[in-house]
Amino acid sequence: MKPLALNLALALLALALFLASLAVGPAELGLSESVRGLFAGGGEAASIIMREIRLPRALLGLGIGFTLGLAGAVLQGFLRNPLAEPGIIGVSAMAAFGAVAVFYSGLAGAALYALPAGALAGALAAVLILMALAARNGSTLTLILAGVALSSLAGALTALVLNLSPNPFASYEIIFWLLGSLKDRSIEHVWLALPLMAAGWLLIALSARAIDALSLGEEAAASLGVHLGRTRFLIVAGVALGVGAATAVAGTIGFVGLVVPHLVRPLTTRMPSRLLLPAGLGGAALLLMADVAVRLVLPAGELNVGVLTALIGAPFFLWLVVRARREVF
Amino acid sequence: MFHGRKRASLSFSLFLAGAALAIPAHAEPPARVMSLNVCTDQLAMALAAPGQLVSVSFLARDPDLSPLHREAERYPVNRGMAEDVFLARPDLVVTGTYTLHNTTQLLKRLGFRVEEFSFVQTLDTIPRDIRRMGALLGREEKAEAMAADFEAGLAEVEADRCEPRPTALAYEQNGVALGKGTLADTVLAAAGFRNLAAEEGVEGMAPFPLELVVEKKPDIVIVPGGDGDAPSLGAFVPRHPALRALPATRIGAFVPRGSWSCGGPAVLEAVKALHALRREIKSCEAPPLPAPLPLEGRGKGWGSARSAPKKNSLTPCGLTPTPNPSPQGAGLSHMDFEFLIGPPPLTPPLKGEGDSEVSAPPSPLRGGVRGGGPGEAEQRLHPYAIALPQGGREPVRAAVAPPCGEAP
Amino acid sequence: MRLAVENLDVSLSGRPVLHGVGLTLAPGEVVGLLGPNGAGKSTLMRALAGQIAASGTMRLGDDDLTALPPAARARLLAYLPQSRIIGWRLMVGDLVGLGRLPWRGFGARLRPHDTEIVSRALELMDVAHLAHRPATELSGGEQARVLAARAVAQDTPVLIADEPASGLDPAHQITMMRALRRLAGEDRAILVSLHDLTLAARWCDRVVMLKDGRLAAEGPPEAVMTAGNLASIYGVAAHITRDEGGLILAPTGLTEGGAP
Repeated sequence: MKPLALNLALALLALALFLASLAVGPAELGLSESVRGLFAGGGEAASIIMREIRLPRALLGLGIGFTLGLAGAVLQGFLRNPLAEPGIIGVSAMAAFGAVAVFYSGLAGAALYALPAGALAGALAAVLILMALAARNGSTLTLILAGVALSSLAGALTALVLNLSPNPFASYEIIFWLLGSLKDRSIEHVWLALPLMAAGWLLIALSARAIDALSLGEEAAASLGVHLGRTRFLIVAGVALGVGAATAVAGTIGFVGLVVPHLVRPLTTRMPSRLLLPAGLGGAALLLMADVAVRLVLPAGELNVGVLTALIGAPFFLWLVVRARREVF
Repeated sequence: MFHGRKRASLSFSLFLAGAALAIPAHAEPPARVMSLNVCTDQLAMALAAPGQLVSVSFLARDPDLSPLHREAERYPVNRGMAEDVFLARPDLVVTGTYTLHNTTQLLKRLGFRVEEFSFVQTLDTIPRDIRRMGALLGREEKAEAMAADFEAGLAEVEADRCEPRPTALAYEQNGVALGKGTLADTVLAAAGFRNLAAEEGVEGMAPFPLELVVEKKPDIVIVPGGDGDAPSLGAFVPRHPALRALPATRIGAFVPRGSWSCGGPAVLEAVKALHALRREIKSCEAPPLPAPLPLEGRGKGWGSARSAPKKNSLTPCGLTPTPNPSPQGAGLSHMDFEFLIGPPPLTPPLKGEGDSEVSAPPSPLRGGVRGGGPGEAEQRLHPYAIALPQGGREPVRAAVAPPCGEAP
Repeated sequence: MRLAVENLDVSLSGRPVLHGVGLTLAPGEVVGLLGPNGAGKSTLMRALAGQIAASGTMRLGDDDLTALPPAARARLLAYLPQSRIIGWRLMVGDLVGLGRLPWRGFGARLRPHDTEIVSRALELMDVAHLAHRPATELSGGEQARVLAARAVAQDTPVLIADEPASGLDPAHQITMMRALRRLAGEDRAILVSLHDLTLAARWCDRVVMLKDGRLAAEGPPEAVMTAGNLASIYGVAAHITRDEGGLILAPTGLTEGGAP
């Protein structure tokens, strides 16, 4: 498929799902009511629902999905590892732990900004640890095993911090941190996360040439004029910013970054840089779709969207593991 | 609902009868009593004789859960563990039915006397729990006075209800609403509100979508007041900007901190606070309600008639002429009612407004009644309201905590 | 452009690997880099390619090679590493197109000029017919030539190839060496490390022999690839003959004392 056509098709899909996300919710608003609510403003219920509840949710679905798809694609490209993904290699879990540690310890009071600050630190630590490991032994297995260890450790530490919190409600929130959700986010969360995620996108985009060259290995890439240290910095910072911000406001949403690059890669030239934009758009589409689905499946109780992405992603991961033994992607 | 309540109260009476049999009146009251649950803590602390209560649960010191948290500082605390009990060797352990169930079984096997209090609590169960605790502790007189006080106070408020009843939503952490069958539901009803969550079919505590809150536009949303210094994400939901955007909805803590977390005497403070709020936000268009709640469980008959609109009350209720020929119409005095209904009840006569409400909120609340409409500035002045967005918690903590040590 | 290296010292993890190696590489010549395993051939090449730290002087024309930014260096010197890594199921044409990266602006696509250079590189390495096949599905020899074509597509005055002929069948070994000679014919300087002595003797203008990180011998194959040098450097006895195309060397056994 021509890159332009592919990107256009995925962008249209994401847009359609964005609109669907705006249209779905417990308050049964008609189409015209929704549209008027979105644009008219004022204190009408429809307007508040559209602007304060559904729009932030749809925007976060778009932005976080884009971030996760992009982060998965760039990590796979950079590490030349088809199983790399922020969730699997433990970046999301560490980001969640960072957010939890800063937020629930009350260091920053109940301030919202404490969440991304902690999450960025956690994500950064995770990416640095993994890069250090990958530099020494870049095998797929090492990375995945390190990710398992890191995820378990971060999960345990998250549970520990939540249990130690004097707030009796805190320990119930582990579900949110392990299996994220976009429920009841506000426009404040959008403003908190979107600029950070956008900065992450930019850094990742700047690494596009380098990850192309890296498909031939680090030596060949360096001989092609790629500055490996700079590339590593761009990707570490970009992934930490994006995934950190996403996790801070939505918890750990796994597997989007794994599934989407694999789904769209066959539609591209497989050149890692050519995969970035389609993976981002596909990630946005997938997360929006999952987030619409959780609202339709259980309208009242509402499933965490992280549950659904894991239900889709984990079997896919298994299938990839089996396939990875025989094939190159 | 009516039916269910009746059955529940019947079985409860039987239970009470059983309990009464188990404790012969002449038996020595237990010398060492231990309470393992924050709700039994409230009753035990309020009723126990000096030196009788050896320890209370550690949660009794949490101002968000325990109205008598200052009182609790005077007692040692326990963690509700069987070991705690074993070492303290109490004559009586009081705890909740559902909490620490394993501990309860273990203690019973070890030969301790354990009395459990149900935590399906409503306004109806409170006087009975007070009396039962009194009987268990050998403090019947004090308990009777307290229960009667409670009933009288409640009746007074209930008699002052009128139409239209504004809608209210008790919205907890993570967007969980308190629906039918909860203590909050009965408190809202007693204060003259309609519980939106119950009307939307919420039973007990269940998630209530934010979108529905916006769509239904409740007149008030009661959000958790102070969540202490420990933040939680769930606390964001009741503070969501979408709620703030509702132009005519008042959002606040409204009830004194911790006052309705347990069915105890302090719940009356919640009822009174909400009742005052109700008078403040909407004037009466119809006469006081006849009997929106079934009353057979109330123990003391319909005491509410006694305390129907006070002569000098400034509420619009009292001043509204009524087309209804009911005896509760305007112009009838307090004494008239007593005369009509019969001999005064056993409870001590009501004291004048102001001094009877030990933990009543300070005057701004009353001032609000005269103030009329729910203006913006006034909303911020409301002592129980938290001024959203952030930063509103401090005033809550400062203004809300009632002088619990002196609670009835 | 003339590559001149003097007094090159390299240490890897604190262990000295190269000791004062000097080397020149003139446009138009193919220089073979010989020596036993562990002699420092790959280390020398990686040092020249700027991938590991080295002390000493490395000049390319008038430029100090060590001071050039990576992108500028990549436009002057192409390096074909020994490890043959193909990360994704890239099409051969796209893979070879990666060689144009140093010449492309950020986000720019291949211009017609780039495409032309890429197709010449494909033809040179005899892989033009594979241009639309996934590189991962080719045979090892084909992959080696495709990767070499990538280095060729960099279109640099200097090409350094680390064992490009290993693992190739005889015909493709010859194709590879012929391609390198043709590149040299375009006035480029080629440094190629080889294990096949005959291949080195017949296709290289000069050979440089390393032993234990030091320059052991240097000169035209006829002068340097002697039985004595082979014995002292490789520790092998060889049957050496010649035909009209040059020397033919076949190792026949170990010398007294075995391999050094």
